[in-house]
Amino acid sequence: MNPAASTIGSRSRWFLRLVRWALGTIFLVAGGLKVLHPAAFYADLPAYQLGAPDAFLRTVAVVLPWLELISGGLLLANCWVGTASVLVVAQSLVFVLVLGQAVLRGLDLHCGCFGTVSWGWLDSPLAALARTSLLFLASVRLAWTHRHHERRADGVGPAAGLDRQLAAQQKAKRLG
Amino acid sequence: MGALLAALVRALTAARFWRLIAVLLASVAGGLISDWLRPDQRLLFPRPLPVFQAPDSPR
Repeated sequence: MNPAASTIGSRSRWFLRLVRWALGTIFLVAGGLKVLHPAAFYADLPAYQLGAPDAFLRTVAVVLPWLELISGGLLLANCWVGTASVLVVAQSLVFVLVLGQAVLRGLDLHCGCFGTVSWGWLDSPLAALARTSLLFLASVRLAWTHRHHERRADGVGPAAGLDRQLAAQQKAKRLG
Repeated sequence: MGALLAALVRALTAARFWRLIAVLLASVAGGLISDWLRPDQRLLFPRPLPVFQAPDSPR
């Protein structure tokens, strides 16, 4: 085996493991804090001025924290990572869109990302947008790489074709 | 071979679809149960009707 390729693979694995742990911890903590105080999270939602009906905002305030909590828990437990990473991508995308419209409209609000916990200027829409954009990019990277590795393991896709070619070359070298 | 691979991919995608549905259902169930269990923070389930509340009740 090529030692350089092995090192890069190992580094990449560690990087992805760190990304999974970081995303899992952030979503678990954010979801857990909101689950503890759903009414406070609900109180933060109208400030985004989305024009959504009150019943929808109440449903979001009740269900979204649990979705974050379960997605984060699955990522940390290394269980159903493909499903959890797709859910984290979808949630991060929604957060980016909602915070993006708040920044564009110049709304002054408390982002409510971590429930009642307040971090001063880090709670401003611009800082929250930067934070969630990073989360979105990291989750896309995790979901894409996980899908790529799964397809490779299943023998599907161009990377699997390269694997088969490499295996055939190594077999030919061994035989003769 | 191609058909077998396509069937395999479809099966895996279907399995993940059901995982997605399972996580979404678990989130909805978790939210509804926690909303029901904490009357002081209820957002979805109706609070007790005023007629059933004691006169010195905060609501």
